[in-house]
Amino acid sequence: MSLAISFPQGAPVASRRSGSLVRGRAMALDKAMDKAFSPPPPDTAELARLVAAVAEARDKQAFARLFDYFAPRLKTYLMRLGANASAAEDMAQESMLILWRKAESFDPRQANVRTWMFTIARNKRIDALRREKRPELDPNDPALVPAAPAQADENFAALEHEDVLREAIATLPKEQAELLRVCYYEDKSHRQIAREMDIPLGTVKSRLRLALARLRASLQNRV
Amino acid sequence: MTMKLAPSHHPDDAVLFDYAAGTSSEAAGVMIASHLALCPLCRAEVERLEALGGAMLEDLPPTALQNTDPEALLARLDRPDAPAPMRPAVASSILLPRPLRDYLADMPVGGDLAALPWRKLGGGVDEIDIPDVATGGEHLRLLRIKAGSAVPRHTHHGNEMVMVLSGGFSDAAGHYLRGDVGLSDPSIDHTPVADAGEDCVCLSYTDAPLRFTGPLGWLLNRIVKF
Repeated sequence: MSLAISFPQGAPVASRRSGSLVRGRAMALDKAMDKAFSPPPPDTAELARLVAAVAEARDKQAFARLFDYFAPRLKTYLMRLGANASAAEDMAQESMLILWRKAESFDPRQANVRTWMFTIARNKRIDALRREKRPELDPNDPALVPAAPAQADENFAALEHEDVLREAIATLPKEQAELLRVCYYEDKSHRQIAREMDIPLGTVKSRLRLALARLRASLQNRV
Repeated sequence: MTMKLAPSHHPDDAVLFDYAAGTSSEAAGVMIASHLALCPLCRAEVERLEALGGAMLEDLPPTALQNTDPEALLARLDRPDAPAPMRPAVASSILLPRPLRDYLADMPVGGDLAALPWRKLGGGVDEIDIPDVATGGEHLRLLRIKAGSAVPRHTHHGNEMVMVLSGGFSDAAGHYLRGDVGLSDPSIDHTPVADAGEDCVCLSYTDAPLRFTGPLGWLLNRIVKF
């Protein structure tokens, strides 16, 4: 079995050109060739299939594909939240090991793989910053008040809704989409964001509420 | 205790957002995670917010890995998992949400609520600071208000979230039972009163000190380092 983990998909072109066969070719052609030859990133359903293969068969090939897709993106995420490159890479690796260990607990009816990996990496980073582990919800907590059966259109995270959600994000007004990105992918609280964008905290909140209402509406229309 | 399906008073949605994005402070995180255990509505909202964070992951430009050795990584997959650390159980007559229980387990006497070192604040109110969690001007504490007692009238320099763990209390804004979160900010000057018949135990998070405003407020502000 070939276990070489490569990082071809979407990695910055410049970083791959040294030592590659395509050295010296024009940049535009380079990019076109990359597009033609690198396999497309796994889509939402494929990601879920790969996690199932890890869960059921301890499939290392499937893990390698998940690693190729997620680890470089998680590294970017963790660096944006303030980790240096080497710490971010370590945490991205640790996050992938959690995927390997906990693949059985992943339920595609409840969540999608991107959301799951986002929460794993988010918690990894918090654990690294804190004395204690992130106070986490425990589904087996005797104190947990169970939910009423969820309405299908209310569950953003369900696998079949993720693509709709991503399309909906793409159609948000620019200021709302930008605010979402800052909220999730920079280490700033609402207060800090309001201060830096020089808008009242209330405006930050109302913009986010607008964005969420739009996303909910597009899910309801499409599902 | 009145049973109901879900709490009716919730944290501000911006606070839930910070929690989902991973930017809340540790002390605020304990408060929110504890509320989520008791509130399926906010839990669903946080799940939606997490789905948003996940959906945007696709658009992040990848950063090439520099020091990952594929062989070493794959070798790690075959190693058995380290067992998860066990935490001592917390003896408590109140069913505490797990995220809070974990923090109390570190306290002396194993976190038995009755045996914890409650400190009298006066007026039938006792408190326990949950240590090593809060940073800056924050405070995370348990409050125990004697049945029928009032917390001295006060306002806030910052924001306060108070979640009922057992019993209940009322203020001008409403009636709060298990899982309900009362919100206060500097514009609110209130006198919460515990329900008669049962002591009210709450988890309180403040991001700045309280300021007492009643007739003896000047004195309380000196004595009570709230």
